[in-house]
Amino acid sequence: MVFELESEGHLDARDISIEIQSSYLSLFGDSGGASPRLISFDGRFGIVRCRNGYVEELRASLASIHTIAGFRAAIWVRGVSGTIKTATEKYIPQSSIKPEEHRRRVDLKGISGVIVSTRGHEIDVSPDDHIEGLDTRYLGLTYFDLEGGCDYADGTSDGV
Amino acid sequence: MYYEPRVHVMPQGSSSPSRMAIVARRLGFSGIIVMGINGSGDLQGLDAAYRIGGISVARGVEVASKDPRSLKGRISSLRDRYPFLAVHATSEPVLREALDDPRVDLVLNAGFRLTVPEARSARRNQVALAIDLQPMIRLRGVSRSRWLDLQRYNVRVARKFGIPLMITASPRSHLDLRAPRDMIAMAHILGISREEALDALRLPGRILEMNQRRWASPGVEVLETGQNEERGI
Repeated sequence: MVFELESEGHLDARDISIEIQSSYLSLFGDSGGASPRLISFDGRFGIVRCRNGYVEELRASLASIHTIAGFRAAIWVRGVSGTIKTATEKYIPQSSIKPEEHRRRVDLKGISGVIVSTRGHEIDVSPDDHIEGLDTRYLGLTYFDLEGGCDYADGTSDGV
Repeated sequence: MYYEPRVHVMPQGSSSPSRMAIVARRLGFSGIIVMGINGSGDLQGLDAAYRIGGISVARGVEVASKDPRSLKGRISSLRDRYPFLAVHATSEPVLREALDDPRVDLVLNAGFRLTVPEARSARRNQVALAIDLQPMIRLRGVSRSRWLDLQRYNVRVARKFGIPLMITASPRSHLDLRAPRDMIAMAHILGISREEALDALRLPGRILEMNQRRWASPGVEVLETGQNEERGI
């Protein structure tokens, strides 16, 4: 099973493996039969193996993960396949996540902060003021929210 | 086809409507309903979300009210302004009142066991019951198992009385969104079959479509002039 991970901080394979195990155990207990095992993780996409016939159980337990090692995170299942080879070929694309180096700023009505990372049209912004009642560190925006729509400040295309 | 019926955006959540729309599209949704609470104020960045192709973004309103009487008033004033109206039932009288009102599209049950008369009126008024998966994502251990128990009970009651269901992950951040297939897998743990879950994911789209048409009275639609025919549901 290939999954895609998005998180607010840097996570390594060990954190994710522990969280997958504990989430599965918490939901299905010791008698659950999927015996999930993390095969690989490259920073965004990962492969997790489970026993045949327990795919839906594993899917539910991956979906119920909300925090990994203290960072808000989400795991979205991209696809399921019988072998690791086809899983890799079919579901893991060339990822294009860019950490923001120039520390561009965003100043909109009610929101101001520093851009943390961009991916395609998506932007994560670290807000200047802490927002009450939210459990995320960053705000999720897109280029569409910025003035004048889709602008590529550095002149290159961030295209998906 | 599939809708996420309860999306909270900034400032109640931490993502903009367009970010929600882009992530939801990637996960396989065909639409999201962006909720404002009690219709107060304008949500920022909705225009940007409307510009995103491949996903429809609808506006909805969530009515939160402490007592049934003010609930009625709020429903009357908000119903005509939004194509989708949900009630957050924080107390049992509010829950009863909401299930008894045909103008309500969706009721969010904050943890009460449905009683038989409540279930009957929900069936009669075709008020959908929201299955909110957020506690399943957030809670662990005893509190989650208690929540699972309650939801399984309500799902059983809903099936017995034919109450329509909707499934939502109640996202407040794009990280809270879950793909339809993941939601089906989670709903399965609550005793919702695959077919029921698919219906539940499709229902918001159907209700939006119905609410955008003009109805003279239940079952009688106002069509354009020149199309002089009556159409029943």
